[in-house]
Amino acid sequence: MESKSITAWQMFLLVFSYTLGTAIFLRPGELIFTTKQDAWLVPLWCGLAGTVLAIFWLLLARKFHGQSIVQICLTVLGKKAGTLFGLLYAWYFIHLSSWVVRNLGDFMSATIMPRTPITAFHLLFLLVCTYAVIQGIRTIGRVSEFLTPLIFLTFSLVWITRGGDWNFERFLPVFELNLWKSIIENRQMLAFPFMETSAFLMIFPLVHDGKYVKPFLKGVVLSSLTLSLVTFLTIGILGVVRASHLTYPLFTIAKEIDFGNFIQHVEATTTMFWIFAIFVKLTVSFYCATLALCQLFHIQQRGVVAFPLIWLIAGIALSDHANVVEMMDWDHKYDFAYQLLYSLFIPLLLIAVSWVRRNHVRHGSEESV
Amino acid sequence: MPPAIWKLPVVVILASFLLAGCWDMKEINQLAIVNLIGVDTHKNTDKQELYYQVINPKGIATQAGAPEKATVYTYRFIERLGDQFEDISPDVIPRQLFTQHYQAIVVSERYAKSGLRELLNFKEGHPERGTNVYLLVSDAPIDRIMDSFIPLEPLPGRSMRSIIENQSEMTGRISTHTRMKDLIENMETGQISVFPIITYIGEKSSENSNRLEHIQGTNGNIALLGGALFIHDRMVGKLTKDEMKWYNLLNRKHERFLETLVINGESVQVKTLNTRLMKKLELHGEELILHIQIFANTNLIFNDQKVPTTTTLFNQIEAEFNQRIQKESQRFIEDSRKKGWDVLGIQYLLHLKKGAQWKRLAEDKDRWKKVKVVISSHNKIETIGSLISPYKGE
Amino acid sequence: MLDAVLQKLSLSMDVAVYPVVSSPYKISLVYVSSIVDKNQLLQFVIRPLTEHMPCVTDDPAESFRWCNEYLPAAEKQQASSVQACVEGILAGKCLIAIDGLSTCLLLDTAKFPTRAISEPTAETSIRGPQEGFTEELEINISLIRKRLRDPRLHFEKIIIGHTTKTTSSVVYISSIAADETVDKICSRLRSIQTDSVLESSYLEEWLQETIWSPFPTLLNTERPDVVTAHLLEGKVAILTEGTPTAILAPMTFFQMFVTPEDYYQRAEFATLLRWLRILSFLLAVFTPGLYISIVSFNQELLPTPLLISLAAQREGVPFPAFLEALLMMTIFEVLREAGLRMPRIAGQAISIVGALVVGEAAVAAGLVSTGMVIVVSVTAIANFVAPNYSFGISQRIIQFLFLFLAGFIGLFGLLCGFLLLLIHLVSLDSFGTAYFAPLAPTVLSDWKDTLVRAPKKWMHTMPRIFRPKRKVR
Repeated sequence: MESKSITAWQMFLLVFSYTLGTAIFLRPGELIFTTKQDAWLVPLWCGLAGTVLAIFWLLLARKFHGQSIVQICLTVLGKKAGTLFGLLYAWYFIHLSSWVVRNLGDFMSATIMPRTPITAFHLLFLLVCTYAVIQGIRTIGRVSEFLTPLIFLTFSLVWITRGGDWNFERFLPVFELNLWKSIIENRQMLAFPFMETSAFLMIFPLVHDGKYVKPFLKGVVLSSLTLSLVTFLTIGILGVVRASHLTYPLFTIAKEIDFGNFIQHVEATTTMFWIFAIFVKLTVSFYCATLALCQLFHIQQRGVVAFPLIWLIAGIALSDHANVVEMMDWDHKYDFAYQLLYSLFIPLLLIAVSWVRRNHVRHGSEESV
Repeated sequence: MPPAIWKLPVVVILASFLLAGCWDMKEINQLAIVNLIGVDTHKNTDKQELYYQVINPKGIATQAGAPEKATVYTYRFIERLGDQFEDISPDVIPRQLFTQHYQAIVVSERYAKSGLRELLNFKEGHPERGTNVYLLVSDAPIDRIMDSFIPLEPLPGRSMRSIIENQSEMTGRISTHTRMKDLIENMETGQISVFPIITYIGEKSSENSNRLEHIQGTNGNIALLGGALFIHDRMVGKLTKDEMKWYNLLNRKHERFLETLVINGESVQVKTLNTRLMKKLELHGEELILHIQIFANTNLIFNDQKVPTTTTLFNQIEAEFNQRIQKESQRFIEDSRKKGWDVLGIQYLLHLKKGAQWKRLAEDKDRWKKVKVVISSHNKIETIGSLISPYKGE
Repeated sequence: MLDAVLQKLSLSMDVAVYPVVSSPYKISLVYVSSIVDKNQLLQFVIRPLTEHMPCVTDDPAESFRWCNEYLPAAEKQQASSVQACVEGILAGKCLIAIDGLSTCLLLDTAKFPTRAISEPTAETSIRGPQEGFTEELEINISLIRKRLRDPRLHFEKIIIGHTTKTTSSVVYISSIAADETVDKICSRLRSIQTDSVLESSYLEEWLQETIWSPFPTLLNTERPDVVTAHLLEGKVAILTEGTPTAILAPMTFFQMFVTPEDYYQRAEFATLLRWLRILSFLLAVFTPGLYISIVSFNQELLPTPLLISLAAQREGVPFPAFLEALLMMTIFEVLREAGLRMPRIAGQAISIVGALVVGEAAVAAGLVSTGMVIVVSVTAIANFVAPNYSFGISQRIIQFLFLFLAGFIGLFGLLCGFLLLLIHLVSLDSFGTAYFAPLAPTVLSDWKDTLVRAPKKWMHTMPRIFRPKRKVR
């Protein structure tokens, strides 16, 4: 079914945009609230842990070359248990997509268009993503190839124009944090966004020539560096005081761009570019969900799965959490443990079972001889 | 029938959700564009007097057809600040208040003295309002300022903004770091913020647009008076225009610095363009010393000397300038120390240092009073204007 | 044999039957008088037959052999079936039927009325050849041949359409064009089952890969120099009998911003002009949507003096901004269509009336605001910059779509529209070449002729996206 493939450069851009997508809106503010002026260090070690996990997934993928995680489940655990775990993963991707969609809706309605009900944003955006998903991974790769430089350019422009408000004193005193306490307190940063990159286990088989190792690692490392840079810049330009109290510090930074009294209030247009990053993230997770279901149930046409999923995802997005505060609360308490299941425990289980089976087969074949 | 025709009704149904978007549609003519906001306490109740100055588009339109004479209208509400303006304004204003473009916010002195925290939360809390606007404190009764037409600039809010920006470019007496967001940032760290004080020249407000037909520009106009000093979110005192100059210089907040010197009995005026300031806090034993070094390149603006212009004269001017800076700065610091104002932000600087020793010092809230300040300045004259040597009288 | 042929032809008034020799056996000429060259017929067929043919022999086969050998004609064909004879006659050939023989001789005497070579109507250039294709396939082929004197230039003939039997020719340079592309095109053309092909656009509709797309995936042109240039880059051209428009495949999105003028002017001007065209495309597509979304939803994006000025202009206008925009743009489309259909003599009046009515009077009557008139005019003029007419139509469809999206849900709608457009463009495929190459997928070496026009000294490699066999020029 999936004969199209993406190049290594497109894979890298996908990983980069995916990891940054919603994290770049939500994470810096929370980090600055907990870790104050040293918040820019947190993404660095989370990125390190994320890279270790990434290597682990890459090893798993290499062992079962050419198979997505759902297919690995089916191969290793057999039909019944494999379908169960495959469905778990499909649920995970659906849940991810609904978070992303909800983040988008919250952001739009909190900042630019307050009176529109967020379902309108959800459904319209999901419709666009469905179109991309039906067209396939090749289209998704190309779209991200076009959009990511634009996103990057807009970001750079925003930072450059706001550089006039830079104040080094906002960083002092440096390195005051308690490392261990900070790691425990900020563990949800590892979950979102780094553990969410386990979705790419579905996309590894689709990369041209199987060259997915380097782009994936590069993407994870670079996005953690970028997150750290963004947090750094936020502290420098906004300051700890304001950034820790604002819901969306990035938006406030864009709001205060003032070019010679003429170009002002461009936050609406810069936000549009940032929404491209959210688009890539949503499309990838939506695609993974659709692909997982199609692979589990041998459905050839993605549209049959994608259209009904729109309603499911939009519904979950509305009902999962009632508001942003509840979501942040859940995030702090449970996100790390929840995502640990999918990114660490199930792959470990798969490796363990495949090792046991191999030994069993070997012993069995030795006995029969 | 092409295959997958079932996709079409689904897409149509989904697209119909687009229609919900028009809840956010606002016609331009339904907007009351606010240019200036004023806040005052209302007598002795806990309500505030809110003034919204709304632009009348037809009054300043550049199109054909006789424009109306009134460029702005002021609306006055007496409500608690926490109430949404969407709650109070529809009683009177037939349009939606649009505050995204307002240029300045004026608070009365008595309201500033009672604390601006509530106002700051109000402004930052909703994305339609912003804190990137200039905050001004008013010396005169605020209704006089809000209810006046001023000449030359049809929108008073924009005129206040222009005054601040021109001053910062020309004389350095006001810095552009006088926005509400600067107050927010300094509020929590305990630093001092200074905001301009404006006053109204005239006995009563110029409520009628006929005032614009009078030739006198100074009467019935808004003028800048000095600075209001805020600690946390309360106004605690005033600074004169001169003192504002030194405050901005010592805190790296300005772009220009203009000073008149007296040399050989005649006046010389110099202006600096880019001033570099380096502050260093050092601990010598138990004594804290703050070293401030000022580097400036000056331009000679006005030279009324009777002696010819030589490098000796220039050295004299530079030395005199350095001395003036040191003397006046020390005087300013001493004066403010007596009033209990930490104008150099020394206590905040203590917080920025690492180490247990500094932490101990930072705990002591009055430690800044015992810090010795050493100011040294270096400057060099760069340009001298059109006259190499001034004209002699005889 | 003769009777069967005549019966099949259903004698219309221009079918002529000319008996040349009456005894001892009949030799007849059958031709359609409106499409034969009567002079040639007289000189080289009738006269030799009547004057120089040796005395009648008894053997019809001998006469046939004589005709075959001695009658001068550019093309001689023997036909044994009624079908072949009828087809030949309808193609302008002259049939010589000898009584008693089942084989007939077809001599090429066709002369169809043609137009002289003139300037191309839809694509003008200031500098460069002013020749355009005509409706005659042979003349078009000769126009290409005279520019490309390469023995590997190949013309493949395919006849399509049961009733019209239109000849179309697939042209390519066999040492450059990729084999898969040529094979794909030829096989697709051969599999077309239709009754008529009147214009190359019929073939376009059959050849293109997706049915629903506002964007053309094949380039059409009337200029032989354009066709030649594209052939040299490895593309395949399709010429059709009866139309001066040739089709070129494969094509990318960025070809639609290219005019032949780009290569006849200096590189710097060409680059700047190309940016201007891309800017016009963006203007044409986004301006109405952006204006509506800013004016109706996000007024804070406007600088304050502009906001005040717009507010003053819109006082008293009865329609909301979105309806106003829709109304103005619809009226403009009506005007444009009217201008096209209007006989040339009356065309002047329409343009003056249109400008006056739409522009001045509507504003003065307070129906629309001045700003809106400016927006619509800018959009319309930017639309006309597109070098390719069908691309201009695509732009109009998209600008209306964006207008609707922006009118309903503001900048977010515009964003979704842009994403939909991007996804659509990126997923289109033109005979194996991605439509949005070389931007996505990124092929950096091809950028020298896409967004900029590099000087010819630097363009020494062929564009990779068309997969030509030869890598350097």
